[in-house]
Amino acid sequence: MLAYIVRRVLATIPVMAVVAMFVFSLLYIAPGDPAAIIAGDQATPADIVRIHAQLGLDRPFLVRFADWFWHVLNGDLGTSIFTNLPVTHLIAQRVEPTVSLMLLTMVLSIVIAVPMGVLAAWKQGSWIDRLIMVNAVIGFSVPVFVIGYVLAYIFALQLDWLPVQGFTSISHGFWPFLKSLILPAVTLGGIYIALIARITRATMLEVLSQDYVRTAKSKGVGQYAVLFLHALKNAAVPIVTVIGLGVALLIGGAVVTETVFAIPGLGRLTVDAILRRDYPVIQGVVLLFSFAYVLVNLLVDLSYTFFDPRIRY
Amino acid sequence: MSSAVVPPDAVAAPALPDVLPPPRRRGRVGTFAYRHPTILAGGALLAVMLLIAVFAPVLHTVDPTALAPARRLRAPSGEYWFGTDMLGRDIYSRVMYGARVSLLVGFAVALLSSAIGMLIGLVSGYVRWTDAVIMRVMDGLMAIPGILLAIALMALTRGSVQNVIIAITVPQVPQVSRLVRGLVLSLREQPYVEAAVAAGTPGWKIILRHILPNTLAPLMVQATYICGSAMIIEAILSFIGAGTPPIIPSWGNIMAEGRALWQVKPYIVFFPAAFLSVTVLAVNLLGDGLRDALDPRAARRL
Amino acid sequence: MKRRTFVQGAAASAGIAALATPHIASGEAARVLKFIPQSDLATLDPIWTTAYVTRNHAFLVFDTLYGQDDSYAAQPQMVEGATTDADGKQWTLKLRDGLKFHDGTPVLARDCVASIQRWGKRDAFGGALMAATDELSAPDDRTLVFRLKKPFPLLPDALGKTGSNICAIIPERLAKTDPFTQVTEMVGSGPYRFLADERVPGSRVAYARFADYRPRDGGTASFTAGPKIANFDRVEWNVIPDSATAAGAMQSGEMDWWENPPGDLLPLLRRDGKLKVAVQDPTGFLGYMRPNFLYPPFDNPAFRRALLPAINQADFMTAAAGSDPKLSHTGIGAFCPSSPMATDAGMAVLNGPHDLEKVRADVRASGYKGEPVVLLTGTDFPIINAIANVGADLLKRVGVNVDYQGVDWGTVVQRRAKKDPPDKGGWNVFFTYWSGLDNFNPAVDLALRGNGGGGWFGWPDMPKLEQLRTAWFDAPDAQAQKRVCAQIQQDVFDEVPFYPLGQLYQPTAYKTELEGILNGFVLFWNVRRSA
Repeated sequence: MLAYIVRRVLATIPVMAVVAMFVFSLLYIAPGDPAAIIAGDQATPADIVRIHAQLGLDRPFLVRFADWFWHVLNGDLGTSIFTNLPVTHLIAQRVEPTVSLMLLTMVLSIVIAVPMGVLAAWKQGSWIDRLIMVNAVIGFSVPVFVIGYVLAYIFALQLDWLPVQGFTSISHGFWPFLKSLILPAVTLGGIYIALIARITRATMLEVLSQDYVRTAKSKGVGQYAVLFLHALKNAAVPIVTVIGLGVALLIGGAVVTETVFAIPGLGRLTVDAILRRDYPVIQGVVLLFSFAYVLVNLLVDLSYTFFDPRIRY
Repeated sequence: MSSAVVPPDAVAAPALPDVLPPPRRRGRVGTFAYRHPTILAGGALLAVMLLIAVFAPVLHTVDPTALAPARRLRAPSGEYWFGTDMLGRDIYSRVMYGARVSLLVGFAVALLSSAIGMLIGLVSGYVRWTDAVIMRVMDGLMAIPGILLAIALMALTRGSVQNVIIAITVPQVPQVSRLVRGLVLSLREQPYVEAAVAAGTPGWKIILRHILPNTLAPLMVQATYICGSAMIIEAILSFIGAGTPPIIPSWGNIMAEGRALWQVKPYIVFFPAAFLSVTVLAVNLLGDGLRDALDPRAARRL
Repeated sequence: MKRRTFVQGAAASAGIAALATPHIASGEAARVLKFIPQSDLATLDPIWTTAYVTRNHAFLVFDTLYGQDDSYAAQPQMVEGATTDADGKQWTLKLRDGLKFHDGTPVLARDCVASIQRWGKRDAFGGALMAATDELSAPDDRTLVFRLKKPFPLLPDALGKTGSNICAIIPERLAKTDPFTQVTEMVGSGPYRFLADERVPGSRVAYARFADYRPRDGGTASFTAGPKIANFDRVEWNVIPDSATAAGAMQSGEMDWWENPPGDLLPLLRRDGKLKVAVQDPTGFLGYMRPNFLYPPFDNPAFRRALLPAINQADFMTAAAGSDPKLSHTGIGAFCPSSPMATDAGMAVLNGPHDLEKVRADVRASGYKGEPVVLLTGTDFPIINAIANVGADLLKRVGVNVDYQGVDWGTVVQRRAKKDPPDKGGWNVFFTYWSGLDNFNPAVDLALRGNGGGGWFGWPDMPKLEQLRTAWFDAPDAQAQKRVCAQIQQDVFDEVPFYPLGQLYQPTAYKTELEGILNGFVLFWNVRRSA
């Protein structure tokens, strides 16, 4: 087991190298030219060529990759082409809003979705099941930004309970911090809740249909309820897998949510950077997101053995 | 505890409709509808959307790209059923034609990513020595958050429907393969599979007979989810400005173009959003229904 | 930032120092102006980029030697006054007393010399001035002397230009920076200080009142001329990329001032009793369609001319600015209307009946064979998207085989720089819009050049236009300049280096409690919150 963990941790290194290479080459062949964007609408072609050279964008691919990779290994993600600020600085500025938003969304979603899914499975076919599932389906049938606008309209503009936009750091007090995150977290959580509730229901149905559960059920509800915990534990592998996979969904959703609610997080940083072709920032952020994601999935993989002892490595 | 686990195919049993007498006199279709209302509802809704997509040109539509700045932002009326947008284009026509792009994106992505993902997942889960390599590569690809990867891919290319499909498919593949691989890992520990291995059954036969069928139901749930989410991601790409160009109307880009005005002209967002949501709902209902129908254990409980 | 600090920063999710905005108690809130800019302030150096958002930022942080008043006449700002000698071939500028940079050092003449020299290497108007200058010197701390090769009566206009690339005065040590490298240390002598620590690119920039700023004595504030009196302790720019959200933030009172609400949202904002909507910038923006002179069919003057009568500016402007006729203006030629050089020479071709059948016939007669025309456009800028859609539709209707390539603006600016053939990654036509201030006269308008491959994208080779431009610089007085401009506009309609698509005004929205907002683009002095 320990050997497995060590092996898996070591295995993430080549993965990250692959990601780095992939991200770098993807952006290398991208058509947009940061020099042209930087120069502004009225720059002449000669200006652009000069800026291009000055940014080092005219060097060969491998030289640029090697140069960049070496610096990354030394903890230097480079300097943003647009703002001339270190990428690490830009990232550090924006970690708090995104991490807060995602953690709040995750906790909120799991606390809501897992019991919902279990309940739906328990009462399969009943109106509760239908209601929960229809709600879950609606949760990911409506685009995130539509949910965001509607929530902001109701709770911020009409009822005036919460701010329309913006993020307040936790250093300004917990309540203002939470207030600024409630609408974004609910917006972002919609799709995640739907996803987790569905997979919970589906796997619980699978587990509950198995003989030992049915036997328990026939013996009485009390034991059945106790068994629910066992059933949930048996159903945990797909659920945890989906929760882990869903983190990518959260990151993607954060891009939109942060835009709708004007939250200065990493998602917006990334989209701004992609639309402006700010290569060092894109590379840095995507690498960071990827690293976080690899880590989450490593934990998910390891958790399989905890939930289901039949899986051994 | 593993002894308590029933081999999934042990309950495959005789097809249930033959065993249970129909509750009342009904045709076969009626019986099917009674047993699987979600399939019926989802399938019917989806069929309507497909018909809209196919017959968009004859559904009292005009050219969805025809501009008329003088008639911009008209409210829904007898002349413009869904109103007109910022450039005076007829939203009804755009929504009808938009069904083509949104459905095409949804189905193509679901199909492509399921097929590719399943293949990779089966190989990775069953052929042990490939697992580490494939999963690391998949981790690598999956490690790049899907929407970011899609945006980045769109930034590489021109905004066309084909590119949108590719950009949305690529990030979905590792997710499918991971799911399939997880199932395979669990299944291959089952006594009946171990027994088959011990009996010297060739690997491809085990995969085909014992493993593949058992991955289908969860995969279908996943595929419906992908189909629906692909349509949603298409909308998100449009929202960010990396989707199909407005000259090819899709529900996503109609909403994206109109979203700034949603407080004053809510219908521009409302109509495509309603169509998109209903379609995604239909796909998911259909998927849930199919799942219940295809899964013998689920069927037995009905 | 070194690796260790980064890792700590990333690990400790909360309490990032960089985010710690000073907490503002509600009593102080009245002293803070919360503003939504047109876009993120990506670049700080106004010489390095022509982006308007950077120019607006520059007027907070930097001061200029001359200002421009409401009638676009140059007025002394940092200079106390100027004298000309030797038949206009020598200018002596005297700086005001007490000018100070934000780092506490005094503003000296040699700072101005270095700043002008750096600006002259990037800006077209500055380049024209430097080309006419024999020697620029600082004989003492408060005196600048221009020794010219030939008279340059527009010298104050150049130094006080308000379009892109303003002549911002920065300390000599920073002005020594290569003009193709960004200056990122923001040390100016303007009424507000840039708070570098609080900057979150893509989200927020903040400024604090510069206590040592000494406004001009007397006179009234008018555009960038007159005394610049800062009434707020802080000015915060909050970037809100989504206009629906920005509208919400204005309605809820979270923000004080929104630079550029889209025209269609104005009814919503007007309905709100606490908000005021006004057009503060009478020069607005001018839309253009720019053809590529290097490739067929736009290399053919007959083809370019044939399309002109098809342009109905009202269609373009309604699509771009909204249905309110007060927000746009048609009948636009080569110059910004209301600017001193505006003329109606040759306008008949645009104002006449838009007979598309005749245009279609003329297009065929010009020798057009139906070759595809690559229309390159950015779909992420609503105004550009709107005029490009109208343009594409129009071209199709007159029989042009349009290959519509809608991409993001980042790709447009990269691809339009390519001189490759349209079917190999190049282009035939693109759309953009510029501030009216950049369409005032041949000195500031890059589209009024005919210098071929070295010119602005599209590369028109029009020797006649170049000659006229030179003639304009040499014109002795405003009357003579106007006459040359009429000829320039006539030439524009003959050779068609661009198609003018009309003028649109950008309304701005702010709380009714704000008063004293100046005309022009967004300026942050003089404005105050009523008690």
